Amino acid sequence: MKVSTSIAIVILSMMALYGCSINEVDLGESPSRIVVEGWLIDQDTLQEIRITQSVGFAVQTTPPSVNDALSVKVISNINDSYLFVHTKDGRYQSTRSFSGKHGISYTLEILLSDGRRILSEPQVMKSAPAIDSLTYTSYERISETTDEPEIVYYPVVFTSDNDQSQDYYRWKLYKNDTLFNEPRHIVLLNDRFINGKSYQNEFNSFDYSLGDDIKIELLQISASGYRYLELLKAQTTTIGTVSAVSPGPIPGNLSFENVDEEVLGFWGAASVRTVETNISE
Amino acid sequence: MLLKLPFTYLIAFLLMMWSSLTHGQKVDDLHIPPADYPLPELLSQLAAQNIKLAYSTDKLPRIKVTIPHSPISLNEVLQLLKSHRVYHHQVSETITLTYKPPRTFTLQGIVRDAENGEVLIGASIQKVGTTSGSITNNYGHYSLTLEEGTHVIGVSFIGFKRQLDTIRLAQNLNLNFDLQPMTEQLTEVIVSAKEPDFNVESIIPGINTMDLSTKGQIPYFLGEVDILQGAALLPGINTLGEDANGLNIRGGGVDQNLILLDEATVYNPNHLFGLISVFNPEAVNNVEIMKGFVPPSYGGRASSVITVHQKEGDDQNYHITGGIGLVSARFIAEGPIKKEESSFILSGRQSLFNISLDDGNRSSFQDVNAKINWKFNKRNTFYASGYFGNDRSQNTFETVRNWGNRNFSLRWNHLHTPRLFTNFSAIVSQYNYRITQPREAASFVGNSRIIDYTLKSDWSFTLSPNQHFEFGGNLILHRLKPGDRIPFDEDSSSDSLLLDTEHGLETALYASHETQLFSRLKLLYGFRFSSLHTIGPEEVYLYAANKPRNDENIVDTISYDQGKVAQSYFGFEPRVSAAFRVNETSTLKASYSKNIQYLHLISNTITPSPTDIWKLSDTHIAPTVSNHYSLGYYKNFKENVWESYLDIYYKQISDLIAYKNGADLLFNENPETELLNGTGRAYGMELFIKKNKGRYTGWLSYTLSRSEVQVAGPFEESTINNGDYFPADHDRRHDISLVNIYQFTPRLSGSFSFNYNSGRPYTLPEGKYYYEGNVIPLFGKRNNNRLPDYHRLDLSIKWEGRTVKKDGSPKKWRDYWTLVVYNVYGRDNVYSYIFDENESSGNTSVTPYSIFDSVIPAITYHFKL
Repeated sequence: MKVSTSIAIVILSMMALYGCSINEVDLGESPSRIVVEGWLIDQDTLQEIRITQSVGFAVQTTPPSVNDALSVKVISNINDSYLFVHTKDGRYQSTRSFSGKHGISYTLEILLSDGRRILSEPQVMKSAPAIDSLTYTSYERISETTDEPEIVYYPVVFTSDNDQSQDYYRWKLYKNDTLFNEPRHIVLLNDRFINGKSYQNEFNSFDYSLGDDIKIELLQISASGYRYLELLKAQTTTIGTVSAVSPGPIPGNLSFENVDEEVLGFWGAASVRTVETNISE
Repeated sequence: MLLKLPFTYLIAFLLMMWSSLTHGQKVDDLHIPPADYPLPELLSQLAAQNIKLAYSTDKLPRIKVTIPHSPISLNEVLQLLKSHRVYHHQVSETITLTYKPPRTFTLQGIVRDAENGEVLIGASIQKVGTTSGSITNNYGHYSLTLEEGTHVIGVSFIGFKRQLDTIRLAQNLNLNFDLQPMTEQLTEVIVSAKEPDFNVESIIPGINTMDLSTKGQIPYFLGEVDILQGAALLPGINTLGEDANGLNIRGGGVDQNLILLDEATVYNPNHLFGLISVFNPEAVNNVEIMKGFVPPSYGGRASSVITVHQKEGDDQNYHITGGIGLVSARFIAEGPIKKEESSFILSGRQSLFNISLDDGNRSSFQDVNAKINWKFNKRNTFYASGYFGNDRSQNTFETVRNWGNRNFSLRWNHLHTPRLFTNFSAIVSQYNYRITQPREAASFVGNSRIIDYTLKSDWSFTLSPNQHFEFGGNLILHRLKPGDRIPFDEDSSSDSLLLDTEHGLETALYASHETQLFSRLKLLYGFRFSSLHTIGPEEVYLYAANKPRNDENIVDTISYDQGKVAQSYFGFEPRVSAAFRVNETSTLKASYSKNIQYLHLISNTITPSPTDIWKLSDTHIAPTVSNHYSLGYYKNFKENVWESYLDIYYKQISDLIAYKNGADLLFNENPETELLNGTGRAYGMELFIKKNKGRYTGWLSYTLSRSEVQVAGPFEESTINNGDYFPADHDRRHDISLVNIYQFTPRLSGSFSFNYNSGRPYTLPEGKYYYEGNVIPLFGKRNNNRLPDYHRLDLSIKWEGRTVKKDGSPKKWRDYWTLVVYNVYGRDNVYSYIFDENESSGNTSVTPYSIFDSVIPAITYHFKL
């Protein structure tokens, strides 16, 4: 083959290929699944549970909520029972304020309008350790918007692990009372390497500016809750990147009674400690 | 001639002459029609004419004797027989015939590049006009046994002038050849076969060799000549993407390739998270990729073997070579320690800038290669070679990751006899990584390491030109430190965790025989008997029967003391390859290889990371076994200027490691709880057409393939996709590479390469749901869809400086510039999809993610002094 011929073939092929648009992703319909979410906390408040449904990935609507559950209740292992009633958009609120008790195991029971019953695995409410102090530190970086150097602040917390093995923690951070809510902001910690010790936790992937209010919640959660959030974070933050994990379902702790269909989401018990400060000169 | 015959034959001859004269036997009236007669038939003809003969049929040669005329005298017939070394003597009326085979002697030596003394691996040494020949081994050594007499020997290697020598062989002979590189025409072929007709001559199917000569260079990313990038342009070899570690060869995983640098295992072949390979091209002599049949001398991986041989250094003159590009600067120094007896080569690379691969991360690397050799005498040569490589990546918060390979090998080539060649090697291979995390809640320093101590010996014995034996064995002590986690400093709250070191003794014995059956069929068959013994101290967790393997189901722990064998595996690996020479220019090749892999890369990400760990097979993790079948047709055209092949293959892999969703492998004391057992199958067809010589060179490579995995465990959590076969992450249906190199003028050459791949599989969500206000993709079956097709065009222009001064004398300073344009038409190739929610609209979006989405130009400068 002559060189000119082969070059011509390649150039023509290039032009043809360049004209190809990137494949449109065909997002098919999927069967709807029940999704349950909620955390029972050790604060005397109106507790909340939300029930929604999954939809096809391309469906651009708010998720359909399940507003007609026949009963939603939390039962403890000491026979306390707390009823929840529907308020709005699949949200069910306890009929009275109550606080989860430390050392008590709780189970969620939902009876759907079609007669199917959903049960959670029992969740034990542990007591979260106190936060000793909250401070902040800073570093300088080039601003993405102005290309000028800027000072970024981030919180540092001093606390201790509970003096017992296998503690699982989740940290929630707020800036000016707004929760950092993206999956990449899920901060998890277990005590495998700090068992029973004091430690400091630096939240350097959170950006604050001078004058901002910092609020931090420390939640003591169960091993299964930790595992669920860890998987959820990996599946939502790595997929599509070069360090992607293999995609797959995220098993929660809820299931139908006598029905072979998965229930999505997680319902857990969390003991909460809060600390706040303001960034000043 | 008579004087050279043994005395007994002389007497016999005289007796016969006397006998024929005195007994008056009828010697002139034999009526045998003129023709070519097989010897037995001719002897029957003689017997029919009352000539009394005595001979042993099975000791006579298979020859044809030409009867020139009729009638013919008995004497003439006997002289004709004598010319075929069939001698006679007569007692009474009976003529006794005996055959005396010719004496053979062995010609052996080294074939080198005359310009720099580098050995040429895979050069052909052939008796001209016959099929008797030999190929230089990994040390440039050849051994060719021929009959006594005068022979014309041709020595050839692609890119070098063919050398013809007439030799008189009357005893064993040591003869080295120094081949002159061709200069008058462009012969540089970047991915080349060895000898010109290697494609059809070699018995081994599915083998590719690479000559990393930077002349006539193909386009490489950022101008860095790169073995792995070059390899990915060959059939059956692919990567997951531009920024992915390792190669996938014939559907195998990246840990299924045995990568050897001067026989030392390289555990991570990449710098910069996969952008370039660890091999400094300036220091590499030869690269060979065995992706189909794996000779019995190699083993330990399920898919392929990649051997990289470092240069030995010019043993006659000193040189300094260097280059600088956008990524790195490199140098090479070489020269004689003692002329023609000992030489050294030292090379190094250093990344120039702290390269930013993503936000806040800065990466750098360096590597050093060194090698010395000492030709003690004609029978003994010693080598010492080493490699040190290091990568470093740091983010804004002082989290630092370091990783690298370190190899050291000592080798001794010994020639026992001209036909018996041995190599003894002592090798240390190490790969380690270190993570320093000073700002975490439990700030720590983490270390992981694998280190191998290898002793091996390889023997090759040439019985005759058509009978070649190889045998040997190796012993590898693996020491794997899966992870140490120690506090970063005294203020750290972190506890220490020192995971138990794994010890394993891997052994192998092998033997192979290469022979020619009939005139057209070559056969190479052999076996490898391998074993692995995991050795204490070791704690083995036992899990409840009929329950998923997880922490909750541990029922007992068995402790093995130091030196006690905890688990043994033995494997018999038969290998056979046959090549049928259809005609002078084409060969049909078929092969079967069984390969057993005792060492696995444990990685929970789709593309392996430098901080993944290696793990030995143990009580819970069985060795991976592959059975690989291939059949191919190899054809050369126009006196080997063009070569081509069509190869089909099928590979079945058992005990493949798969991972549970969200497997947590870092500092895990019992990683088996996170692993699943799968099987794999890969099959396909490869087509390769290449032009080797001329101003225009290049190749077209096409692969049609499938690679699938099945994970069907006894429990739901140990099953993926309902236990059905699904496409592997690296499965690609079509893969086309077109490479063209053109020499415009003696100083200007240009090249382009075009690559087209079917999109690789990815997992498309079946739905979505919301949790805490975030959209969560609902994944069902794994790898249920495919990315868009990948294609890219790269260009390269090379401009060489003048090689002669104005007065016509050669310049000492040689240099050239290379301009590379990567992704010429700025194709935004999709590496993956990100499933999230559009922040402004709140709509769910599928966002394509690309590694490179624009044209990337680069310029490099090279010199040699």
